[in-house]
Amino acid sequence: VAKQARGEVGISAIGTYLPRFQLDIADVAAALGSAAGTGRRLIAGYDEDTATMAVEALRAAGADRSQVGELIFTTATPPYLQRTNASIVHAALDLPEHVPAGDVIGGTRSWSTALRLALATARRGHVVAVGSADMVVSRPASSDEAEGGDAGAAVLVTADNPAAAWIGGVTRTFEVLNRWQPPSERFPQRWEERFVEAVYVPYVLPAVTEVLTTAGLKGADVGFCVVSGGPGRLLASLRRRLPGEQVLDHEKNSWGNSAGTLGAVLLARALSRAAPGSVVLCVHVGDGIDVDLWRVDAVPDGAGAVRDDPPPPTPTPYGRYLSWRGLIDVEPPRRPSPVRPAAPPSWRNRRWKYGSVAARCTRCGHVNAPPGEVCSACGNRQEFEPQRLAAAGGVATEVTVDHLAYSPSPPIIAGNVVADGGGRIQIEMTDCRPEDVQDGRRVEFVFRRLYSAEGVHDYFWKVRPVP
Amino acid sequence: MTSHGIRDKAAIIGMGCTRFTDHWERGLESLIVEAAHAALDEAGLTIKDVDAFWFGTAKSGASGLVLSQALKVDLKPVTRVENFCATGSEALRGAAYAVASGAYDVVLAVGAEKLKDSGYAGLLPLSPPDDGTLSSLTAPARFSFLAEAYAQRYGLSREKMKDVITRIAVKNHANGALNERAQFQKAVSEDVVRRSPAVAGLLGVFDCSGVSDGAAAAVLVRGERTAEYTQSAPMWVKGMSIAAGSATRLGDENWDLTYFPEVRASAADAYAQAGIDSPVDQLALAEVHDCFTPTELVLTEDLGFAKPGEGANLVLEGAFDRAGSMPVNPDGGLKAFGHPVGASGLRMIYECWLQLRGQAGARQIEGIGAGTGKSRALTQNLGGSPGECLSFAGVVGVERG
Repeated sequence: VAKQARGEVGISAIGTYLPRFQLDIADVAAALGSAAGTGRRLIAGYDEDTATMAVEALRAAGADRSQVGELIFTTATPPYLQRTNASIVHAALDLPEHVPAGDVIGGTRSWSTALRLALATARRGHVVAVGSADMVVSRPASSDEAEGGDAGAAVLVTADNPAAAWIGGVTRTFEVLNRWQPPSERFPQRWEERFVEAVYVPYVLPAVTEVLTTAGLKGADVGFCVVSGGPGRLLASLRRRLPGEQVLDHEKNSWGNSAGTLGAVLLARALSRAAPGSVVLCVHVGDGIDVDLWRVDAVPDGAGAVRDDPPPPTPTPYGRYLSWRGLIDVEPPRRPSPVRPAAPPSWRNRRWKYGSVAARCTRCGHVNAPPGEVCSACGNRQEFEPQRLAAAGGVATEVTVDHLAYSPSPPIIAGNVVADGGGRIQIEMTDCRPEDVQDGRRVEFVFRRLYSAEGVHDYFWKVRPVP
Repeated sequence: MTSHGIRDKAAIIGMGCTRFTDHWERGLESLIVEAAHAALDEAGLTIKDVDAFWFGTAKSGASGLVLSQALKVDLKPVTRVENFCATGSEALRGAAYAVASGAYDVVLAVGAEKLKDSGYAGLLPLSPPDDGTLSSLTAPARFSFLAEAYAQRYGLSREKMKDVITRIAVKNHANGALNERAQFQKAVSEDVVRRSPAVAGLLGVFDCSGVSDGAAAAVLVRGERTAEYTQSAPMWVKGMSIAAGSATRLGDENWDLTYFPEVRASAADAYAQAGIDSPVDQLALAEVHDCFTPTELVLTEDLGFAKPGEGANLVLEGAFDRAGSMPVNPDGGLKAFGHPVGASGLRMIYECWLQLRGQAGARQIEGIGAGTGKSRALTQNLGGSPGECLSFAGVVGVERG
């Protein structure tokens, strides 16, 4: 398929974030004595949520203050119900305050809704960053839990010579009870999967035909095909019936179905592997359907990291997973529970807390982390420039394991980390076990939720060992 | 910096110290009363003779009213001080300056803490509202970095490092076993220390000081007027120094966590005030802030008892034992005596008081005191944690001049 004239919008960069922990579904039956399931799924760490995973995916896509003109955060499982979650993501990316940021929150199709909003906005000349993340937290031993997965993905959308151009799409909106969760409930629920399959398949197939026909294409022209948003039975049914090579179908059993974000992850994977000139077909379902066609003109930025297989996830006992999600209450260390972070200091220090922005003294070069009014090296009070620690990695020169400190998942591992760009901080380490860390270990900065207290999530940065 | 000191201008004429332990049946008030009255009794004075009070507590209460209410002192000046774990030393410092200045004739310094009522393990942070970015590491974890850094810098294996700190715990417990006021009065074997449950990094439970309740007190008068109050031997303040770090040292990549610049500065100042130029030759003993075993190792070097990197072998050779060349923490230290935060600084002074005056009983160090050439002793008290700390160093002595 040939590249079209100017005026097209599409994707210039991609990024994915896959958490480092994995649940073996067989452990669920072993723990609960329930019917035996099979397969594995990815699970977010105890200090992750959809905002932190979206931040990591956006960072992988290269979303930073130099280029992002607008930000959309999309998820079905936001950290906060009543507040703009995108502002957290915006702050973690250290975006300028004039950059708009908003949430698209709801069902499994929110990702494609957000993507289409981004396409429309990008036509006005903005680079729009879309960060998507989902955590499927379902009733223990349910099929939703067994089938689910946690992940993040992001794209940058632009009208300026995109690597993958959007070349057409259709939508069908219809009301059907498929998967739902009111705010008062803890878990999502599903209607019978055979009903869901019977309703959706007759909508999807003609819509795909219509999109292809309008674009002057046939089924045989489709390179990769992405389907997402529905329960496993529906997705499997669509995969069998739709044209194109299914993206990484074989990974379904080890990553899991991360609801709407699965579509974002798979689109990124498709774009990272597609040959220039090929076409990618995306079908997203959930209280309606979206069908989109993409033409790949070049390799998007970030494709290398998306294409690379992530490090093997750490098998995690089911009981530990349940405690991470607050589904069982485990005895904490005999220490006071943390208090909520206070709004005024969090506001005053927001570029440090969320953006990891330290103060480089322009007189002596010392990186003051956290920033202060006075340079701790030379006493200068006037001349500082911002320096974002998370823009590079560092080395943990000394490491310790704190068995006494309060943590949602003890023990706390921490190190003195010398940042590559200068500055040293004592900081928590994550995504590792005590046996994984030694003095001198190379680390990267990751945005995390340290704990929650009185309904306030405490976000800050940690480091984790570089694989 | 100009630091004149107040050598011999303030003197202690009586001291009191409760046992440090889990005082489940006693409140802070009871501990204050015991320590304060013991000090006054020894000085031959009554509460009515005291002109002013300096009261140190880190977190067991707020304001001087805690003390005035406990002692039923009415309409007298009571100053409450707090400087982390150096709170007790700060109370002494304020009281000493008060008499040295001539503002008051008789001042009582009291340090007291009730930690065991919280139900939690370890010390609790003093927490004004913050932005949630502050380290949640406990004190043992923060101090465990000393062991990591020391082992790296001086090429000790982790096993050797563990040997060294284990030896410190064994020594301090052996000393505590001879002290009826100590929280832990039982000698422990290296095996017990080594096998104790992990707390942080290389530190096990037996590498950590005891959290306890307790109080200590001292009666101070002007240095040249001791004879007006007592016929027994007074102990003069020779030098006192507090060095507060900028608390940004963790951000200084040139500092490698193997020493405390704050301790070195406070010691240099206190030694200069006291006229100490060769600590090992001139000091009878040192009571230092062994909050965790690696802290004591580093302190022996910072206080001039060992060259940097040589403290570890001196520990293993027994140089800091009670019978060693430089006795450190002969009363058991924070490790075995216990660490009721606000009382610890005065407790260190209390051991100097007993040792230099020959009243330390079974743990009395031989050949020290007036007329022996070793009539002076050092106390060193640390507040905060490596990189974010302040240090008190003080020299006291039982001879004038």
